Amino acid sequence: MNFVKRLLPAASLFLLCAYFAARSPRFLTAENWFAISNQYAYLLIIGMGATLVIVSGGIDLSVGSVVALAGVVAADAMVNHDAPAWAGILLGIGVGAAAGLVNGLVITVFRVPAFIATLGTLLIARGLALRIAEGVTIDGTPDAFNALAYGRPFGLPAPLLLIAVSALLVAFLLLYTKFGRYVYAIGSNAEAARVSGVNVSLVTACVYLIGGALAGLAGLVETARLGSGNPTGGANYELDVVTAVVVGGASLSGGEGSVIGTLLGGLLIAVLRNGANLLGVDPFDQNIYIGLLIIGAVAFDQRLRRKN
Amino acid sequence: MHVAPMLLEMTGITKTFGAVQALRGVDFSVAPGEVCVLLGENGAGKSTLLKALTGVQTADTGAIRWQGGEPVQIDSPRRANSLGIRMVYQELNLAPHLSVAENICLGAEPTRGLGLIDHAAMRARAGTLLETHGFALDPAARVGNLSAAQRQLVEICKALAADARLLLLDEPTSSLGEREIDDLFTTLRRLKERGLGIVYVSHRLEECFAIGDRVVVLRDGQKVYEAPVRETDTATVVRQMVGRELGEFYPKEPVTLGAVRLEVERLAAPPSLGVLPPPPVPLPHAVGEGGKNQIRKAARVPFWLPLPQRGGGGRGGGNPAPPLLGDGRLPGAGGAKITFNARAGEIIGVAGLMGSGRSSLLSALFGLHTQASGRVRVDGREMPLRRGPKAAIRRGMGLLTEDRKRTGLALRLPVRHNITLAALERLTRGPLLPGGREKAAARTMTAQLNIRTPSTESAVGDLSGGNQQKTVLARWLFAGSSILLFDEPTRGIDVGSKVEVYRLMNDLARQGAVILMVSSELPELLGMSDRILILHKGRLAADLPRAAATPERVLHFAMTGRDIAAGDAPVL
Repeated sequence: MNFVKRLLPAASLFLLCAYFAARSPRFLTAENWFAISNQYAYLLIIGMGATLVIVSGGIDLSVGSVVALAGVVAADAMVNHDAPAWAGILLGIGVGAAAGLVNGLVITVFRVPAFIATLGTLLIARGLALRIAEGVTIDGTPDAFNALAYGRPFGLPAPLLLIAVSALLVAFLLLYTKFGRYVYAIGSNAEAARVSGVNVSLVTACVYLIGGALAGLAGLVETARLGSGNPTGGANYELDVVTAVVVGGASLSGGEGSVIGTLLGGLLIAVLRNGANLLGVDPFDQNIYIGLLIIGAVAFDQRLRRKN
Repeated sequence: MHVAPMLLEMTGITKTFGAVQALRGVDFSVAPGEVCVLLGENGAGKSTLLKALTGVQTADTGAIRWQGGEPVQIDSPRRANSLGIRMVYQELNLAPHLSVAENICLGAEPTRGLGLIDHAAMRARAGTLLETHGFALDPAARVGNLSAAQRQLVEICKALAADARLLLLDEPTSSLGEREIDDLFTTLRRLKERGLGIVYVSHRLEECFAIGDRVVVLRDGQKVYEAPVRETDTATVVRQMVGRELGEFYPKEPVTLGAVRLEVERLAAPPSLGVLPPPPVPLPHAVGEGGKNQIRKAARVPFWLPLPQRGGGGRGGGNPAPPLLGDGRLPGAGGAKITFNARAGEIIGVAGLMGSGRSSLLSALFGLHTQASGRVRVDGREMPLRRGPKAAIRRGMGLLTEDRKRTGLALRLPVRHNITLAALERLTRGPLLPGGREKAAARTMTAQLNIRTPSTESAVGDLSGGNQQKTVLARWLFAGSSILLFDEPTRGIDVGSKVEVYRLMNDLARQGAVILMVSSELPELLGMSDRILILHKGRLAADLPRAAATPERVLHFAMTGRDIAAGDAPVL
């Protein structure tokens, strides 16, 4: 079953790539793939954090706003207070981690359901971003910082490396650490995990903290890509991310999901958008396809489940 | 013998799933007004037979006659329903946010014009139905606010709506306490008198004998035994179910007790455990008058026992003094808080009705109650009571919860993950998973406990109930737990697995473990325990040694909080 589950997004991705490659000569160029990694880095980087969160049986709706907040805080520090690039980067990731920690504490200490808790921080983070930036973009981030989006260490685009680093980090956590094992156990049955001596609150808080930090990192890449901190950026990212994770085979009820799945799910969405753009498909229509994609993927998954 | 035609007659029913023959030529019949008990180990074919009756699955071959008529095809649940065959499901299928009336009429709501629901008519219909069956339930009550037993009544009432002829009950008592079971049986007897046929499936033999008229035993898809209840006994039935001599069904082995390992002092865990004020000490003459009848009334007829009639003067005098509690206090004298000791090798049964605090006792000992108070010492070392299960696990405790699916197992995760979850530290100190050593450990545990699974990587949810339970046991054995808190360790598992669990308890006791076992099955408690603690309304009503624990006494303590002789003549 796992095999079939993994196969479906992989096969869809392959077919989609073949189709676009046949229709557009530009699709398979290195340039286009660098563009994809640059433009959709947010989806995969946040998707890694969201994989952790969703496997633990939670959800984080605040990531889109956290992208904006982290970007704005970093841009403000660098542009208006002459902070060096490294400080901006640390600040952005720190802001994301702090937002995640707030989510985790609200969920574990005050027992607010994750959906509501992160809906609240979605609004709070957005409001803070707008207030810090006074409603306008903060332009002119330094080149050293913009290298996050345009740098080519080892000849590879920096966003691609950041995606790889986050994916490896989360995959390592999930597969090779006790923490990851506890995340799966909590997602599958939190009460059973608690009775087995797992510190459910601590693990849950860490999950949201990591998810927030990765959203912060994604916010930095976005800011670097545009050269400015945008307080209205990142809108609806949370929905794209959930789509990617779920298409990748995770279950919103927790206990199931993997980094490979999310990579495939995220790439599927990225390629679909990119290829549709190359072919000149109306962006309005793209939303329709992606909507169909998530419904189809989950419907298929349910069918598979019933057969078992 | 039956003048009236059989209500249901199934002949030569077979059903094959792939390579598995679930049913092989089973003949099965039910007369009107008869309770037919269907018994068999898990996988014997009981569920398949029920499914063939409810139209969920269609038999491959065989004929079903209904009310003595021509053979009928039950090829859909709708068809079964129109014949009057109704199933009361083990997992309650009710909408907790809707009212009793709404649940009973669900799917068949009375409507007015435009398809609007006629709420008044619905309440009236439900009210009539409840009344005819003598169920004391308010049609307007929200189902979510009802007790498990009351919900069961709603479920039965729903099944009875409109022309039910045959009622199928699958483990109807698994979530009920003794008294609630009693109520259920009163209801069933009434239904029986009105000519309904009842098929009763349960793992609790005593119940089956109390309510059944006829016993049918399935084994490996075949009917191997059939007898009127009054002409058979539990030992025969169990032998037929397992198809081999079980020897002693409760294979309790005597163990020499060692040092005190667990000391519980004035334990309380609000709201359900140890918080009631001590009962007033009754004056001798105040109890005498009419007390006997009151107790009889309160106790009703325990379903597997004759009325405890022997009381009288003859017994009162020879009755042993009320047993001492662990630290020498008389029951109730130290307030409501729970105090007892347990020694190495001791199996302590914990009896009590639902809501008596029997599960709270275990969860409080395990550190799951944030408001618990009192002192608990394990091997002489103080245990922090409110610091969560981790502290308890470190001291060597393990808790097998009452509901393994809801609170025991991560069902979608592999057997291996479930076994090692509580003790990954045993395999590795750092943050990393142990890898190969974990697999080896899981394989060792599955072999040791005889957990039948395709591999240690299979999802534990795919295993049978008995093997799931053994997986939870494996978790605690792997964690090295030696103070084991078992809450209904044999609930919903087949006879073979039950015996395996009992053997394991013996082995553990021999190795010096302490086992606290909460159970609703009195024979199991009496059969396996060295001592029995009886809780009544959050209070420790008695602490009886094995020799002094007769079923009558334990039940009486559980139901009234007093000894069986106390109503007849004041003791001491």
